[in-house]
Amino acid sequence: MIIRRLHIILALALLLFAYPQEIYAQSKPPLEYQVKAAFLFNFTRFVRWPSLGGGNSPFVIGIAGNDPFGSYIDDLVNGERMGGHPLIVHRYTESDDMSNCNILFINVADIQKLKAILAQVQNLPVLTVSDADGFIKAGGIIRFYKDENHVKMEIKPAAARAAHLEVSAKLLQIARTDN
Amino acid sequence: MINKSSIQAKIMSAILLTCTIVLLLLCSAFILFEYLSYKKSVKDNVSTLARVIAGNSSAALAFESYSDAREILNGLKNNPHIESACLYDASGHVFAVYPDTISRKKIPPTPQTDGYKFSDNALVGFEPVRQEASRLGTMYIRSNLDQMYAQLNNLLLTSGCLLVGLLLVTYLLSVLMQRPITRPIRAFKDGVRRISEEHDYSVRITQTSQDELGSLTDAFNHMLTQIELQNETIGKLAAIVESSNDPIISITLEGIITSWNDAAERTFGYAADEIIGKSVFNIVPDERRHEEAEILARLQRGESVEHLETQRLTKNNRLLDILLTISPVKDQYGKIIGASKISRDITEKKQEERRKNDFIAMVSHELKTPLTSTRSYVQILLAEARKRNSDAFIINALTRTDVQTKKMTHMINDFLNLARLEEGKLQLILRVFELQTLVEEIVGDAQFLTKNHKISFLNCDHIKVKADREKIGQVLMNLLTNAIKYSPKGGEITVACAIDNQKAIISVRDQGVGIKQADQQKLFERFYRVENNELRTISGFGIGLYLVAEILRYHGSKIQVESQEGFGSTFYFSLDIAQE
Repeated sequence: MIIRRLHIILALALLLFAYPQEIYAQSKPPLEYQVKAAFLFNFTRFVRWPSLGGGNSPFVIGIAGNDPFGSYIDDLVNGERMGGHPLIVHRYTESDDMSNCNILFINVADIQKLKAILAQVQNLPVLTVSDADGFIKAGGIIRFYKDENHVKMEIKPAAARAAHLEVSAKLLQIARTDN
Repeated sequence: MINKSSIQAKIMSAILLTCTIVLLLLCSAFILFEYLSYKKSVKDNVSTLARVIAGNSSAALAFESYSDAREILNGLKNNPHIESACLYDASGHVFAVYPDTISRKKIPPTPQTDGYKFSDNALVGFEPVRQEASRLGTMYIRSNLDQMYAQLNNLLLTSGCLLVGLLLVTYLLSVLMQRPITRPIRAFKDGVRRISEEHDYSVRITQTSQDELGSLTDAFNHMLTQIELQNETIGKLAAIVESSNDPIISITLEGIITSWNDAAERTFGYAADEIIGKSVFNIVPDERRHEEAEILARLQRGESVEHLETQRLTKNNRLLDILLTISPVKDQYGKIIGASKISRDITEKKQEERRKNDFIAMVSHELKTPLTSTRSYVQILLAEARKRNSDAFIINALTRTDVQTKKMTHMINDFLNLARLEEGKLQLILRVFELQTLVEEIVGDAQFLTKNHKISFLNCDHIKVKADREKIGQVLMNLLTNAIKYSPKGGEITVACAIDNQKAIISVRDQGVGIKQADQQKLFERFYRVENNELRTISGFGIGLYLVAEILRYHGSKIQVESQEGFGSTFYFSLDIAQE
């Protein structure tokens, strides 16, 4: 696994070397965030939402705070669907109403701001995700953390239940759960 | 090998072979069916396992949790038949392998088409990893078939044991089952062997079954009865042949002796076993060989030979006179295959005849001497009486005496010739002479014997023949006396000569009583006399015409007769004309 990663890194390094740096910097976030972007997308398959609205209403992956993914995540979800709903990425400012999103990646350093955002979507079917250390304690559902350079997850099933979300046992199996 | 073995062995091998083939086919079909269902069950088993693992590993793949993927794959440890497995991510790269220690070379570098197939004694499969309808990767799984082969081996072993066991049972059953079939056959065979060894045809075979063999036994017993009856008949016939006083033998067409009765043993001195299978020429004297060859030739034409007088040679080289009757023997299709020969030993009879002939010859000879001197004295007396012109009565009496003595001389000559003939001592003295003078002489003598008949001759001049003059004279004399005798009312008797085809034909015609057709054939036999009331009174010994026929036969000629009853007869014969 590590070897493969190394290959990729090497390949990326070669690419960086070969192409103008500004073009590449625009489209690709660091590897860690590419993985996290993929994870966000993959949550759509392992979590069940109670209702997704009617017709062609979009399935929204929201990013609150600083956007670490750039256009990479837009490209990733472009054309993908969740059930009948097209996936879109929506970026929120702290003042925006975030209740209409389905997955919300919260990337704010200030714990108070984070709590404010969580309070805004409390009891709503929104899968809250964040890198922040006290996120689970603050009432968030999934937290990314790093272990031996791998991106891992911590899940709080009680919070998911509170948000009326059904998290697949498979996901729970590979994640660290906080009861 | 099968053809030589007994019926028992044949039946048993038929039963065993049939059962073996049926059982083998059954076992093969069963094993094939089991093999196929094992394969299917292995495939089902492995694909189910793969589906479960693939399902479980979707999250690990989606969230790149290598350790989880490994853990999930390690769940396969409970299935020792799974040799290796691996997970590929969505882009087809190997993500996790099982077992940990396996070399990457043993794992296909990229996933192949989904599905399962058997290769290299293993089941190899690729199972898609999905979550919520989206494909996250592929799972590879490889299972060995050791378990299946172990099961198949067990099955083979069980089938083999079963097969051996069943064949053993079949063998025991076949031993029991062939018995009711072979027991009567063997009883039949034993019966037949007893009959053929002991030649006892009164034995009957006990019928033990009502099937085809029963009817065969019936038919065989019936046949035995027939053989017994035929043996009885043959025995009777053989007894007749054996007890016959005449030797009866049978020969093949090549002259090989095939049977020889007791009388033949007694007569010819050879025992049956030493002569059967040898040539009949063993008992034929050399001088009769041509005769035997001719007999064989006649037999092949289907002719029989009756009353042939011939000679045979005994073992002690004694010559026997025998009378032989030979008839062709035909087979059931009417083809001549040999001959039966019934001989009668006539040696004694022949000797008796010879003694009689010797006696006749002696008597005739002894009678002839006084008769010759009597006749000479009568002729002297007659000449003297004529010279002295004696009394007519004396001359007449002496003339009659002369004629009677002459007649008597002829008769004695006939007897002498007969005796010589019988002994085979008749010898011809062939000379050339004028027919005219002989005919004149004999007719003159004959005319002396009768006054009622007028004897004439014609056309005999200038014919010279080569023959025994004295014996031909006797022939003519006998024919003339015969003509006189059988023409009691008188009439003309004509001796005529003619030439036909280099032969002189001499005929004697009378106007007498004639001869019946039936008598014409036997006329020339010895001592034969025509049975006729009218002719009762006519004297004679019945040797005249026999002598005529024999003398002419010695000349290579033949006496012939044409006659019509009541209108007279004509006797004629031919003689060789003398070459100038």
